[in-house]
Order: sequence, then C-alpha cells, then structure tokens
Amino acid sequence: MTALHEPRPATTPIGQTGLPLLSEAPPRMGPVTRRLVRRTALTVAAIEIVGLLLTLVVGGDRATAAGLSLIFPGAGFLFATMPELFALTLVACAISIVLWWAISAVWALPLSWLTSAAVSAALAGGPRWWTDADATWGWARIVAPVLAVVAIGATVGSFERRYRAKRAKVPALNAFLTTARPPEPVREFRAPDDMDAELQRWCYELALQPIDQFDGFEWGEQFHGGTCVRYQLNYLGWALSQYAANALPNAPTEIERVLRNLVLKQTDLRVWSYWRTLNLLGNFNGDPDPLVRDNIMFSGFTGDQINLYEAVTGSTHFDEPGSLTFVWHDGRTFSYDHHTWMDAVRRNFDESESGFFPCEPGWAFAACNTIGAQSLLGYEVLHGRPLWSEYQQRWRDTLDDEYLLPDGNYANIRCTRTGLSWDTGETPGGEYLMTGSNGFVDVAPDLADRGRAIASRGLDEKLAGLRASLTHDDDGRPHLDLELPEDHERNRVRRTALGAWTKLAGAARLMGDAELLDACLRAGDRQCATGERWPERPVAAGVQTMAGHLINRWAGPHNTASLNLRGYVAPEGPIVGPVPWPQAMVTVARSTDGVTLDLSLRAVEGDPSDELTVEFTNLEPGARYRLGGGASRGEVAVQADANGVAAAAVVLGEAVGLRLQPVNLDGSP
Amino acid sequence: MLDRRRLAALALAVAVPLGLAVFGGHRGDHMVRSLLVPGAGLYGEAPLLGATLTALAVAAVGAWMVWGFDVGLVAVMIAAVVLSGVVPPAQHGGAISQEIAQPGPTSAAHEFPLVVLVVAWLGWVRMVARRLPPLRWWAERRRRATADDDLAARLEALSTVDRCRAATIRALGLGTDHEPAPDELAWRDAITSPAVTQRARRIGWWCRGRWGGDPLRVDHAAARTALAAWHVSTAAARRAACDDAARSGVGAPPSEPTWVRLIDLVLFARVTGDPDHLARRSLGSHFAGGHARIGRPGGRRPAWYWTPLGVSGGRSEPWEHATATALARDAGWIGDDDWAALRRPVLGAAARGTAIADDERLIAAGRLWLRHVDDAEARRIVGRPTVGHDPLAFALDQLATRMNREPAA
Repeated sequence: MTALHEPRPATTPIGQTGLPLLSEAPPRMGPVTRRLVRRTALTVAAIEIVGLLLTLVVGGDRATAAGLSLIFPGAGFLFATMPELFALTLVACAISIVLWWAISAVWALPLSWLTSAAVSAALAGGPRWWTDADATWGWARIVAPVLAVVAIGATVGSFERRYRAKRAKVPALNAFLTTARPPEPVREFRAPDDMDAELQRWCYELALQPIDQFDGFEWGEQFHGGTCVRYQLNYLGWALSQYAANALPNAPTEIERVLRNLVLKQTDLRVWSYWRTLNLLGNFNGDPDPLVRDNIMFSGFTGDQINLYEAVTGSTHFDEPGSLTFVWHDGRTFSYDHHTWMDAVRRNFDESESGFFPCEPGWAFAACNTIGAQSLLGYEVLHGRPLWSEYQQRWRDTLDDEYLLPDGNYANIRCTRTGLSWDTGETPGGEYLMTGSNGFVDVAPDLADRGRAIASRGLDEKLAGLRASLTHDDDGRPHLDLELPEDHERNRVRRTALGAWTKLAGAARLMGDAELLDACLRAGDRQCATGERWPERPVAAGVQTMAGHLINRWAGPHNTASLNLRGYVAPEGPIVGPVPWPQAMVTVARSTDGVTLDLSLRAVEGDPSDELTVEFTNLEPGARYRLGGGASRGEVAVQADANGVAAAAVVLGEAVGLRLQPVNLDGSP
Repeated sequence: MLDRRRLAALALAVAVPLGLAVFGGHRGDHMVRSLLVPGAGLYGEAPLLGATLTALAVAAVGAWMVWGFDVGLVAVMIAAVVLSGVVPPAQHGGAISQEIAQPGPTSAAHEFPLVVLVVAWLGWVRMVARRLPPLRWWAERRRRATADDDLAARLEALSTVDRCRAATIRALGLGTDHEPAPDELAWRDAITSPAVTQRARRIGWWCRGRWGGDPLRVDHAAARTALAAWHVSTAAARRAACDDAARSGVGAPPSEPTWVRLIDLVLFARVTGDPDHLARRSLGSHFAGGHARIGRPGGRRPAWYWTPLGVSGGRSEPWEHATATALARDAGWIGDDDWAALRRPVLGAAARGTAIADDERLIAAGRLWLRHVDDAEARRIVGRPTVGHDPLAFALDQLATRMNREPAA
C-alpha cells in the first residue's frame, strides 16, 4: 500500500447557505492531468520534429513520404500521389480512436499513424494506380504541416473555448450558490401498488432462477453499454436493496436470497470474462482475474452492491472466505470474499497515479470512481475498517483537482495514459454535476448539495406547467394526462418512454414534489405497462432501463446513499417468516412503531384462494395480536408463545394491506 | 500367453520390414515404406493412389478404434504394401535413385504410429472445436431448441453406446430397492430399442463375420451392462458377460471387438460387483496411467485396453475419467489421487456452463467425486450449474444426488 495522501488545507470558499463556491480562477487542468498532457504533447512534438527532419533534412522520396506521414497521419501518401491511401489512413485513425475508447486499444492510433509512415515510405517510388511510378505531389509538403497545425489548433482551441466559456459562468454561478438552498428531495414512503407488485415479482423471477441461468437478461457485448449484464445485476441489486429497506425490512428471508443471487450471478464466467480481453488488449496482460487490476466498473459497482446487500439483510454470507470465487475456462480460481474484494478496490485506488483508477485499461471514469468510493465507505460503515476514511482526502482532491470543470461539472472520463478527455456521448456534454449511484450524497454531501442546487436552477419553472395540468382521480391520487415520446434505450435494442418518465419522476423527486412524483410514476405505468408477466416484461423496457427506473421509484425513505451511511440496522417489531416462493411473495412488511406490522402478501403462481400459514417472530412473548384489515374479510387472533413466535393462516387473495397489532393497543379483546 | 503374443508381435514387426528391406530389393523398400505409412511407398510413382491409401488407412484406424473394425485396417495395410511392391518400377535412376538407395528407415520408424496420432488428433480437434464460439453458439442454440424435448427424445439423440451408459448410470442412481421412478419406461425403452441390437449385429458382421444368433452374445459391454443393470437380460446372458469379462483379463467384456473402454469397465464392474476383483486390479495396472500423471492437474487415465496384446492407451475424455474413477472410488477400488487431476477440468466445466454435453457430464461426474473429497470451494462451484439436459449428465446428477444422501464408502 502506498503512503497516505497528504491532505491539503481546505481553501474552497463557502457560500452563506453552506454550499461550496466555485473557484474564480480555476486551473485548466490538475497536476496529474497536466503532467500527462505535457507528456502527450511532447510525444506528438517529437513525432512532428522527426517528420520535419525527414522531410526537410534527409530528403528523398521515401524519407519525405515517411516524414509527411509523421507530420500528419497518411500525408505521405499524398506526396506519393496515393490519395486513396491517405483517405484510408484517416478512416483507420478514426476507427482507432473508437477502439481506443471501446476496447482500450491505446496502441491503435499510434499503430495506424506509424504504419502510414512506414507504408508510405515503402510505396514511394513504386507503381501507382493513377500516376507515373516516380510522380510526386510536391504540394503535400505544404499541406501536411498545415493539416497538422489545423488539427492541433482545433483540438487546443476547442479545449480553450470550452474552458473559457465555463469560466465565464463562474461569477453568476457563485452569486447563485452564495444564497441558494438545494431542494429537499422526496423521501417519504410511497405505498407499493399493483404495478410495484408486478415489478417486484418480475425482479424476483429474474433473481430466483438458478444462478447459472439468465433468462430475461439482455445479452450483447460486455465491454460497454446497455447490454452489459454486470450493470443489469448492479442496478437490480441497488433497486431491490432500497425496496428491502423501505417495504420489506420485517420480511428478510426472500429478499435476502434475491439479493444474494444477484451478487452470485456476477461470478458467472459469462458476466466477467470480458475483462481478460480488455486486460490483454489494454494492459498486455493475460491475467483473467477481474479484481486484481483496473476494472472498477466491476469491482467498485459490485462492491457497492455487496455492501447494500449486507446493509439491508445483515447477512455476512459474503464475508466467508471464498464466497465470491471466479473460475476461469481452464478451472483456475480467483477466490475472494467481501473483505478481500474491498482490499482489492482499495489497493487499486492506492496504486493509481491520479487517485482514480481505470474502468477499462487506460480510462478512469468519475462516475465509476465515485461508486468505487461508495463501496469503500459502505464497507467501512459495515465492518469498521478505515478503507474509506484513510483514502477520502486523496479521492476528494482528485475529484476537485483533476475532474472538476470551472462551472461545477465533472469530466466523465480521463485517459490515464494521455490525460485527454472528450465527450464519448455517454452523458450530455461528457460531464455531469453529480455522479455515482446517488449523486455524491454519501461520499461528498457538500458537492451533492452544490450539484443539486445548480441542477435544480430553473427546474421549478419547467415543472410548473406539469403541476398545472395535474388532476385527481376518484381515489384522490394525482393524475397526469400525458404521454412521453419513446426513445432508444442505451442498448439500442428497443424504444421506450420509460427512460423519459424516469427522468421526469427523478426531477419531481429532486424538487421534493411528492404529488408530481406519484403522478409521473402512475402516468409512466399507464403508458409503459404491458400487462404481461414473466417471462415477458411487465413494462416495455429492457432490464437496465427498468432497473434504473426502479432505483428512482423505490428510493424512499431510504436510498442507496442513506443505506450506505446507515449500515445494517436490525428491524424492530414483528418479523415475517419465510413465504413459499413461487406460490406467493411478501410485498410489504414494515413496522413503523416497532409494535405493529403492516403486511401484504400476493399470489405469484399460487391461487388467490390458497391459504398460507405465515409465521411471525420477534413478537411480545405471550402477547395476543390480531391480524386483519385491508382486503381481509375478518380478523385472525394470533397468540405469541413464550419465545415471541406465532403463526396465522391467511388467504392469499385477501392478504393485501393487513395489519398485525397487539390487541391491547386499542383496547379491543 | 500375453507375453508370448507380445513377443510374437514384436518379432513380426521387426522381421517383416527387415525381411522386405533386405530381401525385397528396391520393391521391398517401397513395401517397407507402405508398411510404416500405408500408401507412402507409392508417393513417388502414383501419388494419388498413395494419398488415397493413406487417407483410407486413417479412416480404417478410426473405424478400428471406434468399432473394432481391425480387418478393415489389415486389408488397407496389405493392399498398400502389395501395391507398393507392384506399382513402382524395379529401379530408379539419377538423383532419385541415390535418394532411395539410402532410405531413412530409422526416420520412418515412427510413421505408422503417426497415423494413429492423426486419428487421435482429429478427435482432439473435434473436442476443441466444439468449444469454439461458433460451434458453442450452435450447441447452445441446439440445446435451446431441444430444451422442451422429453427424456425419450433426448435419449434418442444420444449415440447408442452413450444411451446404454446413461441407462446403466441411471439404474445405479435408482438403486436396487427403489420406488418406481416416472422415467423408468423411457430408460428401458432406450436400451431395448432395436438400434442397440442393430449396432451390435452390424459390428459383429463387419468385424467378425458373425451371422445370426444373439448379437449381444460377445463384446458390447455398454449394452450388456445396461441390460443387466435394468434386469432385462437373462441370468444366462449375465453369466456369459461375466465369462467374457474373465476372458478379457481386465474385468469387463470388450466394448467393441478387442477394445475394453475404461468407463464400460467400471460400469460393468459396478453392476456385477466385480466378484473376481479384476476391475479393481486393472484400475491399478492397465488403467493406472501412471500415478505421477494421475496426481497432477491434467493427468488422465487411459481410455482403452486392447486385448490381443494387453496394452492400454489413449486419454479418457475428462467426463469419462471423472465418472469411471468416481464410481471406482465409491466402490473403494482406488484412492483420491484422481481428484487432483480432475479438479481443474471439473471447475472449468462448471465455469463454462452446461451448453456442451461433455461439460455437463463432467460437472455431474464432479459431483460424484465431491462425496469423497473435502473440497468446499469445489463443492460451491460445482454445485452451481443446472444439470439436466443431456440424459447422461442427468443420470450422473441423479446418481450423485443419491450417493450424497448416503454415507460415503
């Protein structure tokens, strides 16, 4: 482990409402980025100089062609009167840039560039398709440097323009931040309705199939994007952790198995074997171990998922040595558990040059490193080892120094080898105000407040129109008569409006408007619900889109941030015992006062007329309870034994909205 | 007896080429070449004929190793040798003559085994190719397409021999005093299907010229074991099979004429109880494969024993090795050394999943082994895949389930 980062004195000015202000004279780049960019610039300069020397000093057709191709990729082909190969070089360079990002082929662009120099030198003086063998286009000697200057100038100019534009916004932003108060998001519990039950059921079906089966998941390329099964598992894990904490704290049995299976599926070879390819292409390393180097989009995300599993269930299943073992094609095993997993994340952080470590080799994402930070924090809360508190300052410095843009946004990615960043199209503008799975709320709450304040500027006015169009149904619930346009999902497989509804509901939650949030969720349900059940989708959207929707839908009162900060808290009040899956499932089991229990059960494959015996534990020993209310036709007397255990028969079709309460609370017999 | 045979074979192998080389003149040189690589003696004069004979020899070796069709191989060899003596001119001239005047018999001494190696290599290529993405994808697609097929249909899709092996394993899984199982009829139908006797009849006719009578009266260990395990065969047939097993000297009748396969040996011995301890002894001798190899990852037991000369060789496929040794270990005939050789292949199969039948079988066979070894990591990993599509894997899995319910031997 490397030496701990020296914390620097806090210099960020604070506004009147406690929000951190933005620097009036922000640097163009942080110290590590500057060093990397300087190295990249020197490398390019060296290539240009060699190209000039070959062209101007060495001379001759071959040297000139090679030199011009070094000055600008493929320009030597123009000199050699082969414009088709010049065009081909440009295409190769464009593909190389895509591959650089897509599969970490950092060598692809230099390879294309140098190959163009070598090939143009080899072909100079050879046979041509269009001209005589010894023909040359002398004007290429001028065009190549001009193209190089234009390309470099455009790159630098684009960066500088963007920097200046953002810096120009700082005074106005600081004026706003000085007095701004970020809105308080909606945190109240939203009682699950029929649609929530359908969605929960679908999640259970996905998770409770055998570990090696992935029916219902979307398979495609596993490097980036919307068909990565690891992200589908992460998002489902996060969403269901929230549901476990908010709706099912007093029925831990089934949800524990659901969440455990979602983690175990991450160890399936098909989910993580992509890493070996990336490691080989990007690091020239054939080690398939997915945790030993880089790959924070797997280690950080799933580490966070494991923390949340433990935080909502209290299960230490993954603390057992070897409980998270990866097996390669040839039978080699890479054995981990919760502790060694988090040690691997921390070691990667420690060994990183900038303080953030890469997802794919050579690419460090702010979002992934924030989720990696969340994983260290969550682990520290659960197990007390200071993996996060020891590293927190260095992480924060990296975020502030290397990734912060002048206007309070953060760059999405940075190449750890060149220091370059660009807009990959994954996020608008290649930047965001808040990131991680909960927008910095747990790892950097002040930045979360600032980001929320900036993000919510003008949002209230935008939502006002929607609020004005709200009506109310007969049951008094808000109604939004609106349909949103469908758009392609990230995986481009299908079009859906669910993503747009998730954003709108997210905005309502951000602004603290519970009524609008409810209306948006219900309107989204109306537009996107298919009426289908497993193995079909209940909502017209893919797994990742749907899981992202559920993260927002089920985020109250606890969300991933509050759970990460809270750790495990044993439930108070009556606990519901196991319910036989797939006959039925518990959709609500929560005690708000530690005495009574709100309980809902629904049939899955069982018949509504089925009678189930439900066991309760953690009751007041010897106390009498009654179970009734909701859809039930009567009340059932429940007598706790000396151990606080009791059982009651319930009819599945009448088991929604039940309440178990001691008889002496309201004086009834 | 075996020693005399081996000695005679060795003498013949040395004397014939030597005799041809010394007394056969230039034609003899060509005949020796074709003796070493069938058709090689014709490469110079009639290359097409030579290549055809070599290809025929490769095919004949394959047929010999799979069906015991040794007469076909002998016929190709004789044809190649005779044609090599007949077709080329008596003497070459010039440089070629110089070249042939100093043939390199020592360099060609390993060439016929090369033909056998080619066949083995083709088998290996087949095994590896099945794991390559396109074929794996095709296998997964085929598996999905047949996912809803009933057991009878999936049994029908197996080769006759594997069907019989699967049935034997299923019978072992059910035990002797079992409750009637719902799938019993399908298994019984599978081993009593005409295809089983038809295969035996064809092999008997082609390889040994046997006409009429019970085609299962000799050889065909897999089918006879299955019929015995399901109590379909008569007591007399079972006795005859035991007599065959005693004659082979290793504890099981040959699977095909002259070939005793490791897995058939162990299945037969398990069904009959190995009363003479022949199978137990042969696992420690003919099928030992060298303890140093067995104790190391990747080590395999021999796949076959060739009765005429009493030699064993080949490498068992991992699932066959795992199945045979797990059953032998369960019977107390061997120790735990094989697990060291099998562990990584088994874990690898568990990681790869059940898209390919061989992997599915290896996983299930690994579960048989886990009853005997204290390997918590392997138990976790191997217990994960869902086994049940391939009938042989299903039978192994059922057997493992039953064995794991019972105390270890």
